[in-house]
Amino acid sequence: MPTAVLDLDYGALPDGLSLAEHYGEALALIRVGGRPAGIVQLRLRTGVIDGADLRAQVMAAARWPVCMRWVHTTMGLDEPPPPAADATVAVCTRDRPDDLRRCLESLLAMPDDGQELIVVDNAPSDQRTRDLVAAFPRVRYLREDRPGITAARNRAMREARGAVVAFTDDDAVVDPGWLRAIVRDFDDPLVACVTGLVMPLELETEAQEAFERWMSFGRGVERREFHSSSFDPLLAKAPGSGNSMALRRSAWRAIGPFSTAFGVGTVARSGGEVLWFSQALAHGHRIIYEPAALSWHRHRATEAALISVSYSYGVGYCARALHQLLVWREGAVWGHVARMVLEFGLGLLLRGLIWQRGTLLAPMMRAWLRGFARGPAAYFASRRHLREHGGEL
Amino acid sequence: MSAPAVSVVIPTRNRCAVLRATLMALATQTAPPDQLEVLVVADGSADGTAEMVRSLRVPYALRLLEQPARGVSYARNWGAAEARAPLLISFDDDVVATPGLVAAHLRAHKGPGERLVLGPYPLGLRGRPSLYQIVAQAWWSDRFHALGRPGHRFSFKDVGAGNFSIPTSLYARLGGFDTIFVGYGGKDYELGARVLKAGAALAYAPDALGDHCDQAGHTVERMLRRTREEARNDVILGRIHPELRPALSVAALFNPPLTARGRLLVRLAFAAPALGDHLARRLIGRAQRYEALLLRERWRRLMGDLKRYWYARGVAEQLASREAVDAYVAEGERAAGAWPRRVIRLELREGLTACAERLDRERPDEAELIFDGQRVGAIPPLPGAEALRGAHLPEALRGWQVTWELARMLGTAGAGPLPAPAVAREREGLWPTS
Repeated sequence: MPTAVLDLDYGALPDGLSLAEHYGEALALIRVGGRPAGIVQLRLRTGVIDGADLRAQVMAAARWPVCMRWVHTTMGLDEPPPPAADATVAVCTRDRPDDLRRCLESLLAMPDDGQELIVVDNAPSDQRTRDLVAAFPRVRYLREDRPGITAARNRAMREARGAVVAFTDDDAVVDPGWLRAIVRDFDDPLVACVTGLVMPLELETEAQEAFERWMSFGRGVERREFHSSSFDPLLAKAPGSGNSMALRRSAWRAIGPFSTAFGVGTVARSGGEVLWFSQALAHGHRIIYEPAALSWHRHRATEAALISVSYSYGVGYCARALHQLLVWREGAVWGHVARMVLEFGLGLLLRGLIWQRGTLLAPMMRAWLRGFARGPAAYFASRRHLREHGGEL
Repeated sequence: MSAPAVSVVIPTRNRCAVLRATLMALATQTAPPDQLEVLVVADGSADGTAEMVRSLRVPYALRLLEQPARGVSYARNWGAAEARAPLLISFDDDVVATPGLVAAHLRAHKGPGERLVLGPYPLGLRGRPSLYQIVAQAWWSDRFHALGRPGHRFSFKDVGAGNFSIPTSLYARLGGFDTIFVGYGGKDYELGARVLKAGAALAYAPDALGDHCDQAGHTVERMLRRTREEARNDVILGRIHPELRPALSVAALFNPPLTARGRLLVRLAFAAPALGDHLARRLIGRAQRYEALLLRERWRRLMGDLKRYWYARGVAEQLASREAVDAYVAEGERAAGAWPRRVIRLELREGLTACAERLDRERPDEAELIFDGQRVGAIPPLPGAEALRGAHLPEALRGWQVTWELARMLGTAGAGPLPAPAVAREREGLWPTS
């Protein structure tokens, strides 16, 4: 049954909701004073919930964070983030002009602090993206012919004029406050990267619901700081995802570019930014997860796409682990891989086969494990490709 | 030649090359060079430092003072006694100043009141740093970043001798650094405590930035050696200012987190130091193996134990047994409790701005936070910290205990801890925000 996605402000909770009948549940982002305070799964009755029930369910699920944020907002303790003057926003895209249009519209709805906007068209097969961007005079168009999101992101990092470069994906929509919130934490000189909260844009199909439930980009509403003195750099998926992240350009130059052996559009299929997060942490930089930097991502709608994404994650995870073991000589990789395969891969597969029969969990995990098994071959193929065609490892 | 406006005092020992870079960076300051005087105090240097300083061509007045090895505090005090300028910058020989450093220090002393102004000198890292260098870099960076936050409450532990400025007259009145401290630690904190007791302020000038270019010196071995010296000096500091003992690491010597290995090591530090030293040296080898394999978590736990061991060794030089440490700390807690303090009650209903203004006006050591006549929390007294300012209030209100109490108080009766939004809107007018 599809899930409605709601964006509610606690200060103005409606006296009941009447949504389309086919919704059995709703995933609601609860804001207080504009900032995310809770993510709540609401039960609906044929798309309907009354005001008292809504409030009760919100309170039952997120009393403490909502309460805390509410006091701070009421007392005027929230300092609004300053304008993001010296920043660049970059979107890497490939043959998805319809998605990109929605994304660009959301970027242009942000307050104009003088930020630069870039679209990197990655190995396009036609002119549509170029034509679309031409309709947005504030947006700068770049074409990167080497396929792969990592090559496109490196290109954006090189061409950007801002001290901080914030990335969103073409299939995402940003909140008007996204850029200011994601740029604010760079006042700490140790911070190399800030990631944001990514909510689903819609949960209409079973595939989208399965993705959100098991492989969500969201990392909750609690702000977190990551540094290698208290956090293992090999667990670098925890800080966030590449579709809502900002990088300090000087730190990126010191740490090195995204490895173009990884990422969507390469043989290794994913993991480019996660590998970079690990690298940044291993170099002693800090990464901050900032839930106030909010964006909405449209998950792939079809079952085939979900299986393919899951497979890609499996390939990318294994390839990344191999890279960390062989190139970085990280001794703790073995333990992490064993835990990941047992707990995540096999654990969820078992769950899908026994308790969640009939859902997409089992096929999804099977695809992940198949991808994982394919990882070594993909990794070496990707490195060979790099040797022959050039790129950054 | 006119009298200089700033005297920079740099003690040094056998670090000719590093010192040269430090002196050259002071030659390109935005502040006019005729306002600047630099005093290099060579403390038992035998590596050609004196010759290098004499032959160096710089636009500012450069003076060399030479003493047999008597320690860095003697060196700093002698340099300060010889200074001709009304403002003194205490500097380290491995801090490379950015061009605006001297000007920023000068600016920070404008206006009424006397203060000690801290400038940042974070540890710059190049290439692939060691695990320990990463930890050290984060420690320094976070320390300075915290000083720059508006709600930061300055305390004696914020003072570091490597880059601060102080009126020469205040330094002389305080008697400079206490030369009782030998080796690493103690002396900067102790000076900070006396600055605050004398009624002067601590302040931070972020643009008085220097680059602490001592990456190679940041080794585990030196850190552990210094930990021992620091422990000894902490105990001595606590004897001079008993009320500060609870704020020193010695008060937490037996506290968790402590592994079984760590507990054993701490016990050995008091009971069988020879055995302990042997074990600790063996463990250094193990730490190196962990680092080679990048087993960070194990390395971190082991390093925590080793640091605790060498701290305990330093403490044991002054306090013979665990009982002696406990008695020392307990006495410190009594002294901190008996510390004279001014307390005020802040009625938050009067608005944050009014409350903050009252803090700025009255500068108490402690504030009770009241809402509608009921206590919701307090900003506690902190021996060795500055008196409260208005800027400290928002930080205190953000704490979870106060937040929780306020949420309860603001809630309508019977409706549970959280008020209905309608009530919230109605009461919003109570909170004048600036």
